[in-house]
Amino acid sequence: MTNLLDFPEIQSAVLPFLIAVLIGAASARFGLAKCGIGMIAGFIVTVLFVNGISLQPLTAARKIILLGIAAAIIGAVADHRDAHWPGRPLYFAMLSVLASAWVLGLALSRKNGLEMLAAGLGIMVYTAWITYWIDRLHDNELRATSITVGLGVGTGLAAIIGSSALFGQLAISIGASGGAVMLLGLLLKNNKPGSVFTLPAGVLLGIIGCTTVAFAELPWTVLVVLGLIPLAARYTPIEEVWPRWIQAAILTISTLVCAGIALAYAWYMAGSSSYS
Amino acid sequence: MRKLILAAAVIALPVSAALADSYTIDPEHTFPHFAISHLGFSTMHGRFDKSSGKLNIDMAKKTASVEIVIDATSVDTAHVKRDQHLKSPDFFNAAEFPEIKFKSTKVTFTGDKVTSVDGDLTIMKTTKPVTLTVTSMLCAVHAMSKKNVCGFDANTKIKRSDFGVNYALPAIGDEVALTLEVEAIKD
Repeated sequence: MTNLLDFPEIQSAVLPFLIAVLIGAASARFGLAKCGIGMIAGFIVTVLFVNGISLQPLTAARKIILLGIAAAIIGAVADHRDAHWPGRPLYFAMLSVLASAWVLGLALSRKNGLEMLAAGLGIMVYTAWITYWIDRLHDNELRATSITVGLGVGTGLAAIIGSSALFGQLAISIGASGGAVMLLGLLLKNNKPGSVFTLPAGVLLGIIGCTTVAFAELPWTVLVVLGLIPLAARYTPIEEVWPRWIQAAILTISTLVCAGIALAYAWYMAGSSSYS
Repeated sequence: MRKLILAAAVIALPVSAALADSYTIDPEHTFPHFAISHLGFSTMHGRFDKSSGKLNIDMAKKTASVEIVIDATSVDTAHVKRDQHLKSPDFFNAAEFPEIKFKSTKVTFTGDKVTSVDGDLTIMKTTKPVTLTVTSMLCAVHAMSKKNVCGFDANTKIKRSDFGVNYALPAIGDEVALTLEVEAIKD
């Protein structure tokens, strides 16, 4: 009998979603952390399937995994201290730039002058942009989580088109876990996802997108389209008086449409058939 | 007298080493191949199109050494999308780790033939000892080019998880059969 757990969609969508709901709800219920902690819990479940616990050799993918966990810890500490200082999204964006340098520095160092400069600048801008916007919208959990759903699915499927199922599964896991946190936001009252959600989500999705360009076959122009997803989440008009599930549905559709455009473009650029 | 013997020994050493014939790997006739289970359905074969290296052999003393550097970006399974996937961080991670290396540590002769080569295989900067079984070997003058050529076929089996190549385990097989077909031209 085929083991259900061998299916990528179970590993990177169903299980992380369920774990994120359980851990997020339990943490919020017992006051351990904001419900957004479910996102990193779901992500770790997928990591265990696609990577195991091994961190050697310390590849870019494993650095990303470590960074996600570190970002969640920093975010949890910030939540615990109720740290909402002005300009926090910018600080988080700067942190994400440093993180991206650690992951992608080696790849950049192999490029020549102008190419290195352009790639480095692109990586910095994209990672900072994604991290900034997810945290900028932390007060509106539906908008913040809708970014992770759209960007997680978009980045993940784009990575698969770009020949990396590993990065694809990791990104889709964030999308699924982000969806779980959105669900918790609908079910639980006055429960923001917190920095424990916004910081790792931004860092992970920003860097996974860049790494897929650097180490796999995704054209960088696809990131330009994916980079519009935060704007779709921010500027899609919704009214506070509408039922929250309708607001969530509209925002999610909006970010997924953006992701769909990016995927159609990635598919067109790949110009080739499927492969498994 | 001792100094004289020592001096003679020092002089003799490089002369002795120089007696070993040095060969350079011929990339047109050197191809590392691999075979791996594809989800249990079939065995997928592939090869690396680019490799380089050196072979030193002293038939009189029955000593030898070999070093082969494989270009991980040259993986070829006759399917462009699959090759891109194999080069990606899911498997060989060629952008981060562009070289795969084998360096011998011990070459075993049986009679005039090399029968096995112990050495260190490095994939993704993880080095593990492996033993190549040499199934055929010939050092002779090439009939066409008239150059001195040494060639051999060798094989071994490794576990990719030993080298940190863990993606899609166990669905895609852990055990990888490696075969080397190597030809080297005398310098």
